[in-house]
Amino acid sequence: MLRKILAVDDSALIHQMYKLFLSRYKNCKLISAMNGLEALDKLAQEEGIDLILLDINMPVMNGLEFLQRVQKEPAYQTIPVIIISTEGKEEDTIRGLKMGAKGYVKKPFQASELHGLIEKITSASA
Amino acid sequence: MSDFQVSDELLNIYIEDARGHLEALDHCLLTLEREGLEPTAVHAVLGPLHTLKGNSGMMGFTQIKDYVHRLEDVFAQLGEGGIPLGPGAFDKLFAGASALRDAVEQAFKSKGEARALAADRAELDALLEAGSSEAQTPMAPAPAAAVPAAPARPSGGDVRRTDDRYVAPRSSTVRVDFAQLDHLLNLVGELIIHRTKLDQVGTRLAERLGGREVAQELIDAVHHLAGVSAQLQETVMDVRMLPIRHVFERFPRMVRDLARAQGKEIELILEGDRTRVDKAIIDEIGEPLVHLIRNSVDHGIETPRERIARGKTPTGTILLSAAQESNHVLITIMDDGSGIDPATIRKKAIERGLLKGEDNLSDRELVQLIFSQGFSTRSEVTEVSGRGVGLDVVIKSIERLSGLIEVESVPGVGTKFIIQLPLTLAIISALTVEVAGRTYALPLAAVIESLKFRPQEIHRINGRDTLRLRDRIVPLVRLDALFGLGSRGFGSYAVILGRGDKRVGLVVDKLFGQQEIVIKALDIAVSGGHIPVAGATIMGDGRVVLILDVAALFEGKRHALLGRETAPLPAGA
Amino acid sequence: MPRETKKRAPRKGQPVPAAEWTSGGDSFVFPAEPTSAASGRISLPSSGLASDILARDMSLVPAESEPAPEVMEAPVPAAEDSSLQRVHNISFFSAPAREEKAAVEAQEHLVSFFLSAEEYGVDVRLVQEIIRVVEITQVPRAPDFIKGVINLRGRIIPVIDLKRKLGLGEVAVQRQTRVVVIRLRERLVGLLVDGASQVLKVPVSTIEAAPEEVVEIDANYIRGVAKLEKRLIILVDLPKILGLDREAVLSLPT
Repeated sequence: MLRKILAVDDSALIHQMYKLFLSRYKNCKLISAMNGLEALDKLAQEEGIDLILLDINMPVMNGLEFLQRVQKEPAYQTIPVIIISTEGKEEDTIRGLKMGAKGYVKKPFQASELHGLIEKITSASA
Repeated sequence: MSDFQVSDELLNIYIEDARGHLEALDHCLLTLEREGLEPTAVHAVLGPLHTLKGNSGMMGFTQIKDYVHRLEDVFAQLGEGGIPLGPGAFDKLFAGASALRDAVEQAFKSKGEARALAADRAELDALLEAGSSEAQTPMAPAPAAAVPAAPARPSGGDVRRTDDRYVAPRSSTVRVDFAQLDHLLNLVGELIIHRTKLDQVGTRLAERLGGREVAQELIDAVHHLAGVSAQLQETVMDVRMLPIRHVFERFPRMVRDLARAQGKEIELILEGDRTRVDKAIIDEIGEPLVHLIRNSVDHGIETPRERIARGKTPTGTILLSAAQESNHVLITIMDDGSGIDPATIRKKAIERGLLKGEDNLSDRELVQLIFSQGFSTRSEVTEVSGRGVGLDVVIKSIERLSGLIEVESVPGVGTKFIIQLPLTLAIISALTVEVAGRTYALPLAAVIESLKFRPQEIHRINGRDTLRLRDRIVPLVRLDALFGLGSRGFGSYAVILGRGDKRVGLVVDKLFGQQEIVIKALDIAVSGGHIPVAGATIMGDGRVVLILDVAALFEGKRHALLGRETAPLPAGA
Repeated sequence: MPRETKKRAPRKGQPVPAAEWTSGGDSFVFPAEPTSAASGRISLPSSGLASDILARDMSLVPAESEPAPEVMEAPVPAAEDSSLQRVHNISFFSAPAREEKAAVEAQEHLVSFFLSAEEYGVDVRLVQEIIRVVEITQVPRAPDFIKGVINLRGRIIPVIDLKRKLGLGEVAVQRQTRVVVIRLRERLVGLLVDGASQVLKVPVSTIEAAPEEVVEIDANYIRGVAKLEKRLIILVDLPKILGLDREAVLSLPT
């Protein structure tokens, strides 16, 4: 059961799309952060985040740096992370996977693709 | 399955974001063109491009996405010094940026990709090819002399804008729908009206209660409320205020393009772009400014050769400045071009039937004619400005904003347009009057004074009623005639209205007094026609009262000068 | 570390530089990871699980070569029909979702009102409310079909005399006269009518183009008629009446 999803991306448009894409998960709260630093704040504020959707290219603190810090914290390192990647940034994606992200999807993606990945990953870790 | 349609909401978010990124792109190109290869400039544009690419992809605009990707490649190579930055390269880059902007706007309008970008992409490919075949030589700054248009650096450090967005460590801002702000402002307006009422009632009641303590408490409470609501009003107004830079930003690019197309050298200086104005103004003022600046470029600034022949510098200057003055903002567009020749105006006006040969207007009055409908001082249709000057559109837009515009010009030396706009649109002080049994409101800012007069004091001059006011003659306007209301007699008060150094007296039956009113715009269905009403307001008792368009009352005078059919002024008693 | 070099993808055997676009001097920097000697770009499918991707040999596969082992394929997302869609990263407005809407029997939901003895209808979604006539403030020199403006709970809205607009004379204000308040694209406009009727649903199949009988009305403003058993409801084209064709809409201030 997904109760809270943290979406990290610097694009307001993507957040709006997440709202639509993830509406199928009833009773699931969607939390937004515009960069890695804000995401860290949200992690600290909100208990029980079940999944993190992580963009890489963001200002202030990028996704990989955020991931690095998250992996150091016992409280957070178990939260599954899906990297939202883009064409041309494959090295970053692989680095993220090596750092512990559970999967990735490339922009632009279909809602169904995201759902498929989420379901595979979260049922695996449930 | 949650596949869905492209909603308006998504489109709006997309286009708002995209426009910001496109500005950053233009900005970067201008910086590069002026200062040569600047690593920070290139660096600053990569982020916006990347986000634009991602967003476009998510919206399904694949062509745009691919195109931006190619642009990213171009800039990457540029950043490494791999593309020689001559004028040819810049032309391609600017053209590429324009193509992208066009494609994005069309995608927004059509809710789907509408413009093919294959040809433009090929251009970018060519750039990349040319670049990679070059040796990796360090970049020289674009040769300054060869670049004709060099927009000056706007004061106040706008370069920071694109950076500021990304540097703020904490998101201390909230994204608010402008409709919400409008609503908030409406509510504040209502609050003001009712607080005023409370003021009056409270005072009367307090008097009745005499010296009792509760009377004092009442008065205190009422005053306190007045103070708080005034602050609330100010704060809400403030929230709606944005730096006019948002409007000015697009002009360096526009001037550059226009100047190049016409073989002119023009420097655009921006001043006071930090001046803040109401967002509603920002939304509306762009178009008139575009017209005026285009005017300066097309008809104002001469070609370098002409300028030299006149003893001027080959590069012309256009100054666009904004400044705040008490409760209004002044926007000035000034150029050192050829100015407006009253004789040419006179000739054209006669040609177009706007003037008769024997009409005698002063130079100043002649120059004001450029604001008349259908007037143009160039007979050929220039590719750039289309059907001529279109200044009548400008003046309408400005008057819609409850603003004023004036022009000053010296032939051969230059032209200056001055636009005066209220800082905020929503709440104004007004004088309410009664004419022919109906109540109307006049913006207090336009009222010089009001006075009582007797019928004997009216002088008829040139077929018009006038009043002597100290050392000047003031023409009178009768609203009942203007509005076709059926005259009820003479009226005994005149409200003297002023605009610049002009004066007009509005004849009314009663004066009610001053109050703060909330201006509400009238729906287009009502205001689309040419009516002398600037908006409406709701009185404490729920009545709708129309706010008179003072400018129209003055314009009526001008029309009378031209002998037009629609002259609002009465032909005579 | 040098800030000037901004390479986007590994080219020509250069080492992959540190993660770009971090700001601030002390931001964490990733050590450069050397690519294999013969590298081009890494290719990855459109989505994937870490367990699958990392399981394969991590020497980089140049974009040109075919990905050979099965394990490279991205796992199939649930319930997706055409694999073509995945590969080409098409956007998500696929036809199937739209077709679903057509399945239900189409009906139009209307609000009807009277002008003289004829019944007219407008889309119910555009009607905000129907009110009795309140004091109408005249607006001098406005078009003749504008009766004036009224105060609707703090908003000043114009009232259009629908009979004048349609060329049917004029609405005489009486007890049964009503104002149908229309909301279209943030604009509120009132229509002055002789009387309001009801809300009803009509099957789309009953709607036809306006027949000859109705030709006295300005045909521009009518979008059709609904022929019910005992009634004829003339359907009004509201956007046209409000002057809202596409171009006008795009240029409207909101």
